[in-house]
Amino acid sequence: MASYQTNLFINNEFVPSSTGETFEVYNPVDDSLITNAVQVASDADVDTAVAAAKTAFKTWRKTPSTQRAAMMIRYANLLEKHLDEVAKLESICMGLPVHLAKFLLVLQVSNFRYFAGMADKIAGETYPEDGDGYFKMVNYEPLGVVAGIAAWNATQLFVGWKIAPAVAAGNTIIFKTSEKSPLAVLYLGALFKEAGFPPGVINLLSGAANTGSKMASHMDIAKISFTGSINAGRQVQIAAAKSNLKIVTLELGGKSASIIFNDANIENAVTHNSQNFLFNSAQTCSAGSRILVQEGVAAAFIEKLKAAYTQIAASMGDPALASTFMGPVADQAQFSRVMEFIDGAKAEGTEVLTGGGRQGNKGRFIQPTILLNPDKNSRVYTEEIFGPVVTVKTFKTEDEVIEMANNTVFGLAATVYTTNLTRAMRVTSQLEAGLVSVNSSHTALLQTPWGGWKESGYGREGGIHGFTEYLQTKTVHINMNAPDN
Amino acid sequence: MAAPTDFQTQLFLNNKYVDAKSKETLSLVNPFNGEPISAAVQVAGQEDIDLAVSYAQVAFKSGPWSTYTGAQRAVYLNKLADLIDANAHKLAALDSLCMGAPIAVAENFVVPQAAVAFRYYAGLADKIEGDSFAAEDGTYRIVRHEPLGVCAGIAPWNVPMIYVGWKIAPALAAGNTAIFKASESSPLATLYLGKLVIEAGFPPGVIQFVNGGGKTGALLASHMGIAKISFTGSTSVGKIVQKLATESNMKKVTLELGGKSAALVFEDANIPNAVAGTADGFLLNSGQMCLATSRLLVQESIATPFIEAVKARFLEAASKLGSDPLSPTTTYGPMANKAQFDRVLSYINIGKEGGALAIGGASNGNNGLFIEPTIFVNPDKNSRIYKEEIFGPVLCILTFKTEEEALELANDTNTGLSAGLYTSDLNRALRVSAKLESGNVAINSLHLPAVNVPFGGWKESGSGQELGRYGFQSYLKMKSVHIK
Repeated sequence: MASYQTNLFINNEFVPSSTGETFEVYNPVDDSLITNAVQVASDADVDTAVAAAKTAFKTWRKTPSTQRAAMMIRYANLLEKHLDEVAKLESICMGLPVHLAKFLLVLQVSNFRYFAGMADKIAGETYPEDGDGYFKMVNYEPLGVVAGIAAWNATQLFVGWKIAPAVAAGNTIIFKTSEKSPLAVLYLGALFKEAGFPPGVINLLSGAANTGSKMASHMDIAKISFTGSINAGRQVQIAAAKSNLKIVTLELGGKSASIIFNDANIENAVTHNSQNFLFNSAQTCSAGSRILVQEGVAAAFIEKLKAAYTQIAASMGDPALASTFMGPVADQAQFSRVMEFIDGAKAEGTEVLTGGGRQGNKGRFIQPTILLNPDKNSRVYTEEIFGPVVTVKTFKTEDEVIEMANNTVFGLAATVYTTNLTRAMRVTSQLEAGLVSVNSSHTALLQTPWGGWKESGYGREGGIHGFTEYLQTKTVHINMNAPDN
Repeated sequence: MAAPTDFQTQLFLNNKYVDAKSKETLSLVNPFNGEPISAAVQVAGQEDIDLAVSYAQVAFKSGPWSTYTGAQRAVYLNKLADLIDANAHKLAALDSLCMGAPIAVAENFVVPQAAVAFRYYAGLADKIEGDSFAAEDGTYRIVRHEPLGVCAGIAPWNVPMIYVGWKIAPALAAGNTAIFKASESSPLATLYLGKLVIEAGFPPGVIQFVNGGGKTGALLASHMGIAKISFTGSTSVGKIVQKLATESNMKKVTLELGGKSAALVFEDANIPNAVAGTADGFLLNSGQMCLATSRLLVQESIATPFIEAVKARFLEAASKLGSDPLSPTTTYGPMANKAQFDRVLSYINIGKEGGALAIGGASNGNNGLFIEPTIFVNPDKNSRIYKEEIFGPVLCILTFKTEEEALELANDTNTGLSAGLYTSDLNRALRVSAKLESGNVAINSLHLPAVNVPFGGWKESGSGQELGRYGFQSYLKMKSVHIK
């Protein structure tokens, strides 16, 4: 068995769990065991990491921002040289095809460079005396020790969104992976150290819900940024409130609408609703999992969509191969979850246009599945599936589809396919979603913030908004009329 | 150290060193010893400038540079910063040879500041942000910020390498292409950069270097194909640049001009600190700094000992006069060239006639263009030495009684580049800095520009600003788009 870094990365050292508790990771391509030695960060380990981060913060916050930036750029350059190794570790743990894993890693590299460029540009505001006798300043200062908890689907992107802005702004951080994909991040510890980050600035923990819960309730953590399910997100928020009212950012799920108007370019709509939807086996929070297609083009669109899905299904394979586009889902638990949704839909009599079952009999592969016209109260139409299952419904009018699109507790993404500019502007302005794309599936781009409305969460990652959330204001008033001594 | 001897002398166009079509060359002289520098630097004439502009336009409109994302541009800017740092000694030596700056200052401060500027603006390249507004009246509105096109930079001879950073970095970060002209007195370090531009991987035409004096500068200022010119130099030439720009194609103009800045020392100042800032600080680069506080205003109650202390610092600097700027222990260099030397001496003679000379006033006759650190105490406020920028090691000292008087004296000038303020009183510091009519104010220290805040002059010290986000915005233009 190959050897992996399975220790926790605390204070620039790799250390085992204080309790010796470990967990196993399996490769969903064939359910084989990768390692059973991944260390679980115990409560004591979390305390140790927080203490290290707290000590490091005292110096880190005073480290000149250009030096912080230089370390971030050095790390980005190092990571670029290690893309293959890290991509492979991500892929074997949760089934993401390696070239897509590299795509996410390139996003991480870009985010480190992007936020490095922001580090020395934290500008506060000043206001003149203006009759009230006070010279006024608003300064922006880091929060302290912050925490990040990643979901398993795009871990490397979350490293870029949570660690990069945090340290650029002068915070120190403790980052926990999902138990489904710990190895790639632990590997990064060595790169952070080589890049020159002082001990305690970046700490990497592996563990599951208990570790996350300890972080969410820690009295010395100033902010926690959580990406994952809505249920777990609620627990994080409750724990934060019960402990020290730490700031909380939640990036949760979605049940995003993908709206196709009669005047859309159908080929483009098909590509984005097949290939792009099925990226990472559709295990994406922003996936456009409810297709709403206007009646005039529905038949043609659905037929082409089915052909595309069938073609992609035929090309499913080993995520380790560069030629594989779609691999398995992340693990047995995800597999069972998605299959349960599909079986439930079948039991309700929903038409399965294509797919609807396991692909092959080895590993956790699920066929790309199209469900036609499920009942609008059904589980597959209202709940997040987080797998390669899309529902398709038709609509007549613009007002109707906007209501359908917004009729969900979620509000993460929405996409609109149309060639009419005014319609695009009008419809996007009425969609209740934090992320909207026109004529494209929604993708993460460097400058724009990522985050949801309604029960998809709150707070933003990426871009300048993602940066300012790692700072807090300090208002300073100086009395200009104070008498001299 | 021995003077460098391998020089680039051609123009750097489209990523190649090429001969100028004009046959004119510059005569460079080492101001330390008066010896000619054997570098026949070629002068760019009309044809050469036309060629440079056309290369820059192609690079801007359709070359690879025009297709790069901001993040990609940032990679090149950061590479050039690293290369400048790696070649700091060579670049510093070339500047030092041409214009006499002590190499320690050039290498440890001036050249690295160019790299700092490249890194700072690299960080902004992918953060060009416009606005968007909801359609309250049925029309959506967006504001786009777009690059200008071909941007020209003209630098003076006093801290040559800094301007490479200040003028090229923001231009490129914003997506423009740049044509840069160093002073005819100090072209060598800048020309050497062509090598580094190629090594950094910039596509051809993105950064180009041309050489020449006023005539070449005028060609740039009046070229119809240049979208913006950023000029640092004297006020009189700045006005000419503005005029040529307006009369040609109304290109955007940024001017960083001269100053006759005041330093105010109040009785509650920390005295040793104030002496260091107003004496040693003033003598940085032998006083050849636009932001030099060449008018020292001292509160009467402390004036006598303060002035003695300043004199002592000046005498200390004078005792080290005459060292080779290329020696790493030299702290005080000569005037940069003969013209400047003559200019400063003529001001000193005017001052001497007025009878206020306290110390100094002579050129160091042994070798080169050295002028002694010089102080005039209580010169006539209407005299030319008090009103006009000398740009050399000549300090005028006046006293004041009250804060109001100090402010009136300080603001009584048509310049407004810099101001120094020495006090330990918090309210006075904020109150007086608010009332000083100056684009930059330094409290309790010498003023040195910092890359994250704008550097620009009020009144006739200039228009527009460089550095900071404000400096970046000046390399972009706005387009409002209304969508119904």
